Amino acid sequence: MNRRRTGRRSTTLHAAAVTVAGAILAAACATPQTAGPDRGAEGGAPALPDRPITMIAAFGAGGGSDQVARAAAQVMERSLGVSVPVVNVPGATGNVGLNKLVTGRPDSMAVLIQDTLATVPLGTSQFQLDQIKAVCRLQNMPSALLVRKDTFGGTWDGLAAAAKERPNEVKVATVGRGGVDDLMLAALTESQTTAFRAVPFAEPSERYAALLSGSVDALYEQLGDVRQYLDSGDFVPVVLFAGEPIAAYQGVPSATDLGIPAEFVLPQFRGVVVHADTDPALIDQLDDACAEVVADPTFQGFQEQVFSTSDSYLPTAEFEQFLRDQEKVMGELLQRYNVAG
Amino acid sequence: MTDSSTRHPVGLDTSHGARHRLTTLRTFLPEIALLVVAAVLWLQTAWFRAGQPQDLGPAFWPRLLIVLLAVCTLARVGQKARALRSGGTDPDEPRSESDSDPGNDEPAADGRRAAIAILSIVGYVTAAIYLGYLIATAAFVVGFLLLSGRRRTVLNTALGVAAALTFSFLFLKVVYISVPSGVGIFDTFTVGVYELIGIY
Amino acid sequence: MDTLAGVVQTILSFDVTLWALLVLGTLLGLLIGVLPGLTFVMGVLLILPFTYGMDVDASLIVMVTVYVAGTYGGAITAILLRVPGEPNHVPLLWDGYTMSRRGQGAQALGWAATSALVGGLVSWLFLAFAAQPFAQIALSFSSVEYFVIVLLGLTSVLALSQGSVLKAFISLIGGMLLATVGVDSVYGELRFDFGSPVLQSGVDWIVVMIGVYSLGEVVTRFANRFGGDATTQQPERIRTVVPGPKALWERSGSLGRGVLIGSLMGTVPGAGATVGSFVAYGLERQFGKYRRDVGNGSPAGVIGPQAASTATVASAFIPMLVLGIPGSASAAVILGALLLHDVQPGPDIFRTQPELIHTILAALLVGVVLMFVAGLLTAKPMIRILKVPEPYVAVFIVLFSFIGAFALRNSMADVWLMVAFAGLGTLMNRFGFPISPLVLGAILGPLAERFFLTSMISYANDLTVFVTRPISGALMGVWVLVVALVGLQAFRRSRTAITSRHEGDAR
Repeated sequence: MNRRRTGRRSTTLHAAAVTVAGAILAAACATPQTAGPDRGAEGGAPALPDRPITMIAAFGAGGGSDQVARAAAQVMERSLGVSVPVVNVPGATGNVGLNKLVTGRPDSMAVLIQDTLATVPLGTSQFQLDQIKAVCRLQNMPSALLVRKDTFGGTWDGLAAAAKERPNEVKVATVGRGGVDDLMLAALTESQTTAFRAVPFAEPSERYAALLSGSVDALYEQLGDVRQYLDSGDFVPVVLFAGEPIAAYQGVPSATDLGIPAEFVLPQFRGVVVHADTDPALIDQLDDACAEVVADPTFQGFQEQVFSTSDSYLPTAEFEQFLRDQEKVMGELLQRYNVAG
Repeated sequence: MTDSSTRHPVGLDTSHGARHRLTTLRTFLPEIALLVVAAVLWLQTAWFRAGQPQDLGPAFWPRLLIVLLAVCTLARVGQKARALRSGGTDPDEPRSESDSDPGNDEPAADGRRAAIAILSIVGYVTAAIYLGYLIATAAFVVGFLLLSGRRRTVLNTALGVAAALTFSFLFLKVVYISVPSGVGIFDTFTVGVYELIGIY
Repeated sequence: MDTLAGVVQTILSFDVTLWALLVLGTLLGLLIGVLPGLTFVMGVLLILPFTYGMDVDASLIVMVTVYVAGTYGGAITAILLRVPGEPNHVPLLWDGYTMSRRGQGAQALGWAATSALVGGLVSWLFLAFAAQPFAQIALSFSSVEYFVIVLLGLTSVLALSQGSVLKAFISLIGGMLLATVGVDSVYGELRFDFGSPVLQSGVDWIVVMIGVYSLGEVVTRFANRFGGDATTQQPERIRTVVPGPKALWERSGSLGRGVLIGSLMGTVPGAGATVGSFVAYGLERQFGKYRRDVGNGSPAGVIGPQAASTATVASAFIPMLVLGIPGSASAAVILGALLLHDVQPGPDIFRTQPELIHTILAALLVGVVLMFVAGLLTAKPMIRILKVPEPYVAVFIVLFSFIGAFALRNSMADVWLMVAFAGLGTLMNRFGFPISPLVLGAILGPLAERFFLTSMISYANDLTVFVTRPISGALMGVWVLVVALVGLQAFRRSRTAITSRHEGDAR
């Protein structure tokens, strides 16, 4: 069913609406933002959406997923000509949000991340890959195993030695059981015969506090999410899980250096997906909007802050392939390491 | 009623015994329900993944709670049974006053009217899905006020329409919440109104 | 004293725009606090898009004031209508609402506003002058200590129950079991979903809270034909709402305990206003000077929780600014906003960006005072809500409950669950099971499980960690004391119950 209503909307009315909504706060703003999409600019384009396109952030407010959703939505609004409100639908490792996407109308997008995708092969997901369609990948970010400064000599060798000396006693803070964190730790165990004890903390702040206070010995996390501790020197990466080398951490061994096959290394990614029934023309438009997002200077600043790699952006077809490949690899790894128990 | 069980062993006086058993059953209704729930939930936990051998696993915590629930419920059954046998009523049973929260000293609610209230809300939620939030809200305001005995139809209708429009504007435009817009013709109508008042 | 001078200077340097933002933020925070389901986290989030266009100072000011005022707004509806705007206001239902039903609504509101002011100011002092030591305390807590704190919170249920302890306990466990539905946060396993997508998303305690309290209240009032309420005749004669210095002195114990608990819970990531509020209430009930009256319309039951709630705000900034770890979800959103403005809080910020710290401190200080003033000014007009014929109030409570449950995750599943819980609440009322423990269990149950399992994984299933670690051992001691006291009370009550059954029930 095609629920698009092209060109029924009055620009004057819209302008009035923007004024009213903006008046709530913008009137008092120091530098009021020029809220609202500029419809006139793309009036001639076919199949322009005429309703707001919701952006589902499947994690809580303030986190990385939420920040990407909000930063991208802002640029997409300009490009699509409709508002792109961000709704947070957190819960069950992003599954509540993805479930909302696939059970709702094909008029919204969601930010999908590695951890949520990992629940599909694990069998705890509330969606299947054929229920969604890829739009674009926006970020591809290195993860790392980090330790506190002044511990284990700040090196993998130090950490590995401790893990071998006291098997299963060196604690690593992770997100939860059966996730990508566990797979990567298991891969390390296989290649390096180091056995860690993974301690799950659902809240990021608890993970960081755990490492800062010494409740755990190491932390598995995206580098970008712990930027403040990297900059202050409190945390030191000892193994990088990344597709490409990172300029700031030349001396730090990568997972492939430690004997993990390159195709098994699962860096964190964040991309946009839609309901499988979404009009292909709209997907094209959304992908175009994605391209504008990654070209936006503000967004690029954000990319730099989270160490997002230069090949972060993947257009629709490639992202679709990427998702399928990742799901397959994760399925294999789950079988191989039996981390889910 | 309570002494009868000691004087007449069950089954001697059939009609009395049957009625008595029914009364006993009703007395213990919440406890029986709780025990059934506990049993069903326990069976469910068998399906949970075991986890690594050293893990307590996802079933540990619910099982702990289920056992606690069952123990407390059985203790409650014992308490009640003792109270019944000694001829008194259970001191912890609600009488005319509800024995629930601090701050709630209202008389026990009229069950039928409580059901009406809940059904009207169920109706509201159902209507929100099919007719859309806008229409459902206006209709619910009018209907609920009527059910509450407020018969000033013009005022109620005005209030309903105003509330529906204000809430839609506030929650769709200012705070973005994607409330349902209904299906088919209702969707068309809702979107039309939204466009008219500048939400879309 | 550099900090103080800096803050004063910052406040003096506020221009008209910033003052307007302060007032606007406060009013918005109050409004959001009043609406059940629109939590102050969402309030801060709502402001976020607008702050992109502002400079750092302006965005900080508006978000901080919304956050501060958001911890107070819900007290108004909790006290007057038995509708908690925020989960941390659930304890205010027990004494605040009772006071209001007795025609002391204005006093209750006055106490709430004053406690919020004191809580806000004292924790502000902690943030301004003792941030470093407080941050160190926060770091010395691990999941072991969190678990014992949550255990203390759960035990306050025993304190809440004046009827059957067994029934309260059953209700509590029921709430905790409800909260296990959905995907568990440690193992990622889907539990008790019975194949239904509604249940797969899990049961959020906000939904439980709105269902059994807000909607439940509407159902009960409707069933009673909105009759038999004494409040509607009362409020006209009330003159003062602010407690005088003498009354304040008398209640300083409750204030002090509330502020301390709140400041500590705010600093510790993972606890927050709700846990602080419950623990503060439990303490008043067990150790307060007026413990006999708590649960029966005592100001102490309003003061402790409200002082604790507001005290969590300033203290949530302590770990965020010192360690870069937000102490609460709202603080996390503010941290996110700072990051978008290229400001990176962390260990060095007090030294490298003192102006920013001064802005936050100034915004908090002014925000707390404005919240108090606005709270006082609105108290009297708010009481007039009670003059509106009840069906009209009731219908709006339903509308707000719908939005509140829906807004949580933009999902109709939560709305259905909310309605189901309204039904469950009515049933529980009918069979004499108390409702509050159910809500408490749903709120604290998942925290208890998570902290317990994390501790067990971390310490190889060694149960002794709960007593061998110094802080957790001490807290465990307090817990044992509370349990013993409650046990003693229950025993005494059961002995007197036979002779004067209704004595303890006049709440």
